[in-house]
Amino acid sequence: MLKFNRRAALALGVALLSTAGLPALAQDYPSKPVTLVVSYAAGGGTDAIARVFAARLEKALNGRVIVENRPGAAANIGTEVVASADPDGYTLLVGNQGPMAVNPHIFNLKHDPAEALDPIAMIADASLVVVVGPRLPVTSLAELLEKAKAGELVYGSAGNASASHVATLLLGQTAGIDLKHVPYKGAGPAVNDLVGGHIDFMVTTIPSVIGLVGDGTLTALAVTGAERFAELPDVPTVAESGLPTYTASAWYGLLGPKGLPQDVRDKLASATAETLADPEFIAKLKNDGGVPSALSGQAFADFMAAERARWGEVVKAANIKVE
Amino acid sequence: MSHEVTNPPPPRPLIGRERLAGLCLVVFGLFALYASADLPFFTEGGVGSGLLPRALSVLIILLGIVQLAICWREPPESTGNWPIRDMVPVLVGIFLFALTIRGFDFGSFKIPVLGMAVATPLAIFCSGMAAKDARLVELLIFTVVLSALCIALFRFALGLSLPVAPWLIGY
Amino acid sequence: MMDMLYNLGLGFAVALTLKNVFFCFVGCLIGTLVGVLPGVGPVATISILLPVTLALDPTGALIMLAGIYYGAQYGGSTTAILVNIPGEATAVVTAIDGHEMAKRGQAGLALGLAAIGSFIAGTFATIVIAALGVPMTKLGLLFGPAEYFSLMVMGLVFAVVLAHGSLTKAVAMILAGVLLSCVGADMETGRERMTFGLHMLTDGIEFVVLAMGVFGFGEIFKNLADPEKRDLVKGSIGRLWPSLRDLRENMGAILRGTGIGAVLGVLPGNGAILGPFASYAMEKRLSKRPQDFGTGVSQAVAGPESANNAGAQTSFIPLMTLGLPPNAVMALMVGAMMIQGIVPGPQVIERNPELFWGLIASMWIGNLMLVIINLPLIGLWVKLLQVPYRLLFPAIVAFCCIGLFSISNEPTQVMMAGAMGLVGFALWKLQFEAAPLALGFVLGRLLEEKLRQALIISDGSMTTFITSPLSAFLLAIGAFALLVAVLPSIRKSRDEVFKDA
Repeated sequence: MLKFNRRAALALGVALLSTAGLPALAQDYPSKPVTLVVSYAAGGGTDAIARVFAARLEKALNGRVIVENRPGAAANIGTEVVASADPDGYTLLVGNQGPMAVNPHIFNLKHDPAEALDPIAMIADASLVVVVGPRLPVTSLAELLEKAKAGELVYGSAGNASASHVATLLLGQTAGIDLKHVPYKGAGPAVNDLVGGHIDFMVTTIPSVIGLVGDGTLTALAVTGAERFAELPDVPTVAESGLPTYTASAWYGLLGPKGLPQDVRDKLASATAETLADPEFIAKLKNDGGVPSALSGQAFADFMAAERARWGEVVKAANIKVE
Repeated sequence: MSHEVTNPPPPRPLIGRERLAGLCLVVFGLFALYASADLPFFTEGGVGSGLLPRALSVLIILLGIVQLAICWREPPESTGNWPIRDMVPVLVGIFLFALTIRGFDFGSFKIPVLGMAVATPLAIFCSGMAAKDARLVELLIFTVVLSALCIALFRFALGLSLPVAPWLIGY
Repeated sequence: MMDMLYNLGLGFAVALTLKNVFFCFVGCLIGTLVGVLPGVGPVATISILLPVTLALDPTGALIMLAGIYYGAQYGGSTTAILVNIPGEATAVVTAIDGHEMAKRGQAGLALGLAAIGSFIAGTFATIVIAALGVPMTKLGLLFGPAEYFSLMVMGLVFAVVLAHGSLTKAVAMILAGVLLSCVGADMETGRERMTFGLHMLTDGIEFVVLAMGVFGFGEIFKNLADPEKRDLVKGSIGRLWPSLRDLRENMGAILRGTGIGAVLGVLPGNGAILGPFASYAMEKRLSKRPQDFGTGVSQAVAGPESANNAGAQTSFIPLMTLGLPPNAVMALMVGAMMIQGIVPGPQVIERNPELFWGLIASMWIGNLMLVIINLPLIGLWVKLLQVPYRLLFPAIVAFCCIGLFSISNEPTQVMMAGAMGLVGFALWKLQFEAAPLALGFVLGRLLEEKLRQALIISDGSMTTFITSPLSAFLLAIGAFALLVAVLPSIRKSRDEVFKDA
């Protein structure tokens, strides 16, 4: 027993020594590995983008960047971890639309992401796509909306309050139609049921269906972003298809705990900008359905605030609330 | 290490294994019923989140009663010893690992991130003390060697993002 | 037929290049390693390795990642047999009789049969993928929520057959498993269920936490409580490798398991997990001594292991023909393809035939490699069991703790598994079987998910489960199997009552 006490005391002492009174200096930053927290389990879309991003960021920062998965509680755990970390630039978050813009409206969060986090730069913007399967043989979004007015259509989503879900909610609200929601665990099983003709349509990420659209198994009716997607040039945007006010996209950004030293922030912002300008990175991002973003610092913060307000109205109208 | 505790002879069973099993099922079912009491049974146009948990709880209670009925007249059979004392070191080892690997915040008291370099040897050494035939020196050597091996394997060979010893080497 | 031979020829030409054989070997080796280590599954490994594979060409990268996947499936059985820790749901079945065999000194036989069974299953499944891949895709698409629900009900009935003790207790354990799977945020509303406000429960209980706790830690507690029994393994080791006679006796089980596993592997949403216990149930049904099941019957290892491996292989079918990933590992494979600029989907066969057929051919090569890697390792594994238990179990504790922590970097998971260990010990004391609990838990998740999806689609009408012919058929099989399982047991317990009286 004595052994343990001594060792613990020693460790404690060393731990205190190493964290006390050593402010991060931009010249040395990063002097140890930077942890990039991802709020989802390894293997998801955000994880994939974060890992590709981290690999390139290492070069730009000239130091190790480690992706750490902290999944749980609808991605709120990751937010909490970074919000309560030391603002020294060694714990950063890859935040996305769900936990940043949607969750504050439906959960009672310990930390408000807008107050507890410091937006550094947006990484990518990924448009979603409206697809129909064999159960609903329509060829345009207008036709789909017409069918939906005649009788309730069934749509699948990647999960309750996921980007896929809220984007469809917004579609229904904008067009003034009632839709029936079937939640799945992730896009994969939902797409499977769409191909099998068990549900009518879904709004999902482009990579999850692009192969099936290319071969005609599924029909892409519209992309949800502000612009058409390069790989699907013939597919109009939702706005072009008769709902001019509609846009929705999944986005990913780099955030840190509130109070990052300005020089560390600047270094991270310029390293991100360097990464996002790399054609090789852009190509990889495109394969994941995303385009690099130019929003940095305050512009990113403003964008998040606007997104948050917008999705707040959508989930309130749909009465989604988790007590 | 006074591990030479002779276990007392099994006490004469009062309830017996089978009846205890039935009782446990009833208690478990009641507990689950209580835990899911706030959940709605049905929602408009579908199954509510409470339907399955509560239906299952009731079924488990019923099975518990069936179990009790089946074994009611059989002579009770002992469940044998419950040497909880022998398990404590293992549990302590597991909990120490959990508390030290990434630190733990108890509110008033905070354990720092000690990493694998501390957590792994703690887990091995503490749980190793549970064996009645534990040898201190052998266990100590084994602890050191295996901990080093674990760090090399999980952190460096497999590349998992586990903290090794942030207080010493920064990660 | 000629087409298929031509295509396979092309595939082998790709897969047998020195470079690809090397990637396949590396993949299988890493896979075996992470499979053996409890808690570190293929999902975490593959996602960590994804950026690394970017440097490779697409075919080599996918061959290596696929190798990790089936290598891990195989390695998981090793741990299940040796120390009774099923790292994945499919290994629960293997652990039942496999670990009993190990305790009787037949670890070599169990591991050997698992290896050979897996190889035969892998060979067969490779041919199935090459010949029937495209038509079999349709099978998976037939399963909507209603059909899937009925399939899960049927699976739960199989779980009853799995038990070898009291029927009442087995059914109670299955239901308890389903109940435990309900813990966590509700998928439809996000509302927390039975979590008592605990953060660690909001996403439900991880299967690995349950399995490592109840099986892994539970087994350690059990052995500490019963020091005389724990060293049984040290007794006679027996032959290391199975003899020809063993093979002959188990060939039927292997072939049946392969068939069942190959079909179920195609199902979406990880239907492959049903394979091993459908196989177990069948072997028990066919056996002349069903009462021995659960005490170390070799067919109960050979069959389910073959089913497991065949399913692991055929679960590539929906991925490769439709680009639809049936489980988390396959989703990562999609990611790997996307990163390499290959769009997974029906076009892959035409646009990248060398990739498609190369990957299929590499599966067979990978299976061969697994046998080559693992047969010599059996000797090592068996030696491992001869390490004094006083050192073996602290090592198991350490590996489990690290594995548990690494799932989501969450120390509470480690604690929860420790508590589950006590539950496992209590279950053992009260003679409840843990396997039906684990299976109820795994199937329960899908059961409720599919039930609710089906009822949303049908507007709450239960008839949806009968109006779909496939669903009705599956329910009928389930009902029949339940009857067959329950009748003799009721009769027997009556007989016993009379005998005692």
